Amino acid sequence: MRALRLYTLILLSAALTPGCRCKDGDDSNSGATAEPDVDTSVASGVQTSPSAGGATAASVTPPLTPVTTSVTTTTVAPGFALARLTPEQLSNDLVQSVNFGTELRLDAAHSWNGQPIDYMLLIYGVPLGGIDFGAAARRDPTTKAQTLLVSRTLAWFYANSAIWKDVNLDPAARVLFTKADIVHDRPDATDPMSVERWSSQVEEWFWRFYSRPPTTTEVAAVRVAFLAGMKANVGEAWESPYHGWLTVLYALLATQEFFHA
Amino acid sequence: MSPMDRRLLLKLMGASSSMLLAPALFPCGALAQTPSKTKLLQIFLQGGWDTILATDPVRGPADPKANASYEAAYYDGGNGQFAGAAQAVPGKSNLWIGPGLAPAAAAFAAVPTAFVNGLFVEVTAHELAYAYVLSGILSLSRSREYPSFIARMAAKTGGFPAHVVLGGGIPLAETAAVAPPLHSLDVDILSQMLSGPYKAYGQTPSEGMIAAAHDLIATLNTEYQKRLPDQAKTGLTAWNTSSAGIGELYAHRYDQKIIVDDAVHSRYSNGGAASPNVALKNDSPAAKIACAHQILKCGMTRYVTVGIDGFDTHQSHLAAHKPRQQEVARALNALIADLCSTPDPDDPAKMLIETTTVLVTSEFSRTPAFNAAAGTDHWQSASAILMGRGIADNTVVGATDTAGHAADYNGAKLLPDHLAASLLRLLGFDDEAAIVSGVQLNALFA
Repeated sequence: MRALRLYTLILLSAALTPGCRCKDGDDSNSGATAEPDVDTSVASGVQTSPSAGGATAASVTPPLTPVTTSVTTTTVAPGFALARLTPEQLSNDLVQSVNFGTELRLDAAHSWNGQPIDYMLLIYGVPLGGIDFGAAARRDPTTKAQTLLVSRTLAWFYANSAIWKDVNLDPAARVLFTKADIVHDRPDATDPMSVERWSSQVEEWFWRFYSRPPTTTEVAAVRVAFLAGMKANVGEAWESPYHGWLTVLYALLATQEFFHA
Repeated sequence: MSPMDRRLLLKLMGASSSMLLAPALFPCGALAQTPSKTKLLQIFLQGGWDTILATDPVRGPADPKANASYEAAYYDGGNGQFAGAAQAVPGKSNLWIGPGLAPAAAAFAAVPTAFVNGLFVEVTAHELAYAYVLSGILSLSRSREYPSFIARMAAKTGGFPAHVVLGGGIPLAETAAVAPPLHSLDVDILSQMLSGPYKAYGQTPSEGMIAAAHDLIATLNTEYQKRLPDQAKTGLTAWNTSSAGIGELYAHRYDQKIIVDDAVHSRYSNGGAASPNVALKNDSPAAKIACAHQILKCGMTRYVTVGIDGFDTHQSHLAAHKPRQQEVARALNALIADLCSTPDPDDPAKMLIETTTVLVTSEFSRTPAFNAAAGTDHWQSASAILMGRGIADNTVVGATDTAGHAADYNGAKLLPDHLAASLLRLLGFDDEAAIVSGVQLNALFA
């Protein structure tokens, strides 16, 4: 059932990939690479192929008969598909990346008859600029003010929930904290191994959320935020790295990169 | 204020209320020629509201719009009489309202109010008419979207959020990138969005922690955009615009200022009276209109649109439509009372009603007769209610003819373009008004 649901989500996500145009004339998310126009009225011998940069490269084979050939091409820069994730995609990403999802399963007495309903989709679907439940064809992918606010709200909610869940798991079963100890490892530790574990965990998170390693600049920024968040939330007798991780995870889940494909 | 006005206002707010008395009807100056600080609250009734129950009622059995089907609308104890069902707003002999707006009679009496009837809406498909009335520009091909006039104003004014939309969305077109609205389906989601990272899950997060996280987000976003092609960055324009203002938005803690609870909801559901208790329903007309007032009160934005659906009654019209109109009318009554007693955050010496224009309208109206399902269908005539700042009191512009069609006004059709352009000029957006229409309805404005 879980596989079927995931399969359905993948299918749905595939159907909603860039290229779905909610408004006529809105090509911002078309994602299509325009093909150059080639004048094929001339005799054979000229072949063109678009390169990655959009320019047209011509390779000429010797004509069988001496003819004057000319090729007219229109070079179009390749479109870049930067599409914001739909709520379904986002929900799926969150489940996969932070091991936390929100799902309601209503009983048979309810009209949904026990089917699982994704909480995030239910609550935030339309304000996030995602799917209009009434008519999927009326999706509006443009970003509104509430998109940003919802992204921060969701990021904060999921960061808190995911960390709390992971902390309460057996260390061997943890999903988020596989490299570092949540309450001991920190970037300013005197123990170099602790610092190493901290760094590894940060890198692992970047792979998990963004499918890439962090840059040097990003690691430095994460370190600053971690320490600031940790020191700012001194509610107990010691500075707990827990708050540092919460600060970082909230930020990582609220970036443009996480919300776009 | 005259004794009559004071008694009406007390009735408006509930006899047991000790709320402030509204100031006298204020003289409004000439139409502003520069962008003013006038606020606009637009209440859009989605689906097409029945103007016969509202601003263009049946005024007697001799009224050509009178027909047996509408008797039930005026049924009073079984006598089936039309007379007395339509009523003139107290003290305003030109303003007649039907039973759908009766709960708001006191509000209309208390503040400058004008009606517009007979707006000719060429199209009666919901989306086309909706976009037309909201933008003032008719687009039949659907190949291009024009921004609603309130979005134009917001784009010109700026701020974050530039405007707020509660309920259904409005056409934004190019304004979506430069002045993205804050859109929420209901008041609870709005509250959650505004609370953002301040919501406590166990322990209340500190300002320092949130600030550190937001700095990190900004850095990561900057690094991310460095890797993107220029074309892709354009897709992030609206996001970046919002990011620039979100820190200040959070700092205001609007989540603690915009609170619609059972008490507030009850007042708006009861037309201003505190009881009986009406449990909060986050997407009800009362909740959204109450929320709109609080948005204006705390100064989050100057422009608010409230979308209320449930008016497209193709069957069982009177059973569904009249109660819905009355629900909105009660909320409108409470709204006006609150606007009369709430200082303007931009100018505390004035009450919000002195600096706010309220517009109530819909994309078209309903047929003057019923269909086979006791419902009504779309009708090419819209109407509007205008209240508050800059409005000529006790004024009706436009009318319908003997068959209920939009009648000519000064020899020509009265169009949504004219109303939209006139409002833009009233609020000081001459350039934007010129885009929509060169016609101005001077009679509407004081």
